[in-house]
Amino acid sequence: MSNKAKRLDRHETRIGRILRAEEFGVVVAIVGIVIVAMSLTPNFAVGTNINTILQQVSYVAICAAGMSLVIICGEIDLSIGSIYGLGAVMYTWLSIKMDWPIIPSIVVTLMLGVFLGWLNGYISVKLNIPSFVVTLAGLGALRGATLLISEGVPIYAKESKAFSGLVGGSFLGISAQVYWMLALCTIVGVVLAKTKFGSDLYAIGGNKVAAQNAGINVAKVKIQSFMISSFLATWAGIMLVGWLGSSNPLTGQGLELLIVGAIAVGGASLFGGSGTILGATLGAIVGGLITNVLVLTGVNGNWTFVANGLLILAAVVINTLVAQKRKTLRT
Amino acid sequence: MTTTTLKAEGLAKRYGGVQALNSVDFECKAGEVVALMGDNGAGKSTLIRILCGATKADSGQIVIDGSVRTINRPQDAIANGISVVYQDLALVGSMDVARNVFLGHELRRFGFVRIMKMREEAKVLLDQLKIRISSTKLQVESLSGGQRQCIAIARAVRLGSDFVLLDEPTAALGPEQQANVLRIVTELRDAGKGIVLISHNIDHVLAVSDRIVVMRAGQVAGIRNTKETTRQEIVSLIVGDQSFVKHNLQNQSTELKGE
Repeated sequence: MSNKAKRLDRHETRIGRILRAEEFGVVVAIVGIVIVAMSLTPNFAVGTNINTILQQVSYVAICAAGMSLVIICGEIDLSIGSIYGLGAVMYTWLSIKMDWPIIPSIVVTLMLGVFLGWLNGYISVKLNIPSFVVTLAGLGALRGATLLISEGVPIYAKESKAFSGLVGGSFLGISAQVYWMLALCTIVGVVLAKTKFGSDLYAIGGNKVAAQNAGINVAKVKIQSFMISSFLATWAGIMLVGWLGSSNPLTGQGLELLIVGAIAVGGASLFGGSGTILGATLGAIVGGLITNVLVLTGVNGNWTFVANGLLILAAVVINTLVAQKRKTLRT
Repeated sequence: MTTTTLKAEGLAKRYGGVQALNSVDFECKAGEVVALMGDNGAGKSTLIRILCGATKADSGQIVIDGSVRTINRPQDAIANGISVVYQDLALVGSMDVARNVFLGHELRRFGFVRIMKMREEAKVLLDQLKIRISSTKLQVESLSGGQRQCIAIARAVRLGSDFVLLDEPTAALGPEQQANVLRIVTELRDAGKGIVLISHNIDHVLAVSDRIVVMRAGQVAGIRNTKETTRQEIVSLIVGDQSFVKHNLQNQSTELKGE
């Protein structure tokens, strides 16, 4: 092969790689929404508006990063929104009602979150019950627990300039939440893409029996993914309180829909085996962009639910069609 | 140097009302190909599953080089030098060739998977086994059945296993691919591995095996040295019908007389 042909070949594979990348669809969606939004309203492409979008998206994105691990290994955690809400309420309850200092309150709340993730994972994996069912029960039960702990009313957070600055302040005109999102999603992304744990998750989601035969401890890896996911959701709930200054027992209701939506839009298969954190994060941004555009253009806020539902459906349909197309191209 | 020997002694396994294995003794030495034949339900797969840690035997023991080994999980089997290559159950289609070769035993540095190093080593290994695959970056689901089977075998080789158990490695492959897999089997034997080959194909078994163990109804129906047996004898052992043999012999003798 001549040098020129080689270069051409490499060039083609690079373009091919971009086109085949799981994140390709979601990038196209973002570009499309941004173009539509800019033509509809001049208030969209303003620095503060972009920051607001990212700030609001950050909670979904952090949860989606954790949940991606669960979905990639072929499970799902529908209780994630309830765990997020419980994290918010538990933290305020410990620090205000129990009058604990902030740091122990945070640590114990996070430990509770990790324990709930372990419980979800253990029941699903060890007792061989679909996680869909186990975590659906968790969705209800944990929301109930949250309402009981809070007695159904918001709890104000303990005043702490340092903590609210850390999770709700801003630096260089960009909100703290955006930095948290970037940091946590990067860490989870690197763990998924570069470690054996990440490799095991893809293997289990791709072919559980093969993973088992290759000596991968399937149960352990799956349970760990639930624990990490719950940890991040609990932390996101605590972060929200630090920013808003209070917890609400209904915090995180319906969040599971946004999270699963973000992951599906990001190009992951909801049946496991594929997906990336970058995709999930961009998927969360798509959800945020759509909500923002609807708000800016004065559309009734309830349409955001309709839009999000349709978005998930569209993403899953497109992912499935693309996967089928790939298969027929190969054979 | 003593030859490594994998032995199963008195293995028994019951699934509900079915006695899948009934006091089975089995032996495979390093540097030989032992073919495991038998009708469906004869107990071949159950035996393999026990040897590779996918199923626990109700009774009996696995002995390697004279010492009893506990094999309760696939990890235990791998640690004891036993790898299994299942048909279509060995690979993750959505992952690339290199990751599949190293599945479960990835090369790491500072906790990070070394994908570049894995691709290089996988390439070297595939070249050694003369397995032709254009790139180790290809997704396994895009490969042919024969290529996939070869990758699964390559993984067992890479683990450095003394014993490689192959479950129907040539089924559902084209003739050329079958020949390729059989070539690898003999090469591994020549390299000193003990190979257990489950197959329904008598031609393949006669071509590459040193010994043939025939199972029937959960028991060993007979063990023959490949050089000293005939196709008819193996078939009669499989179906358990002596008259079948006589019938065949009679046919042969009438044919001879006819000449």
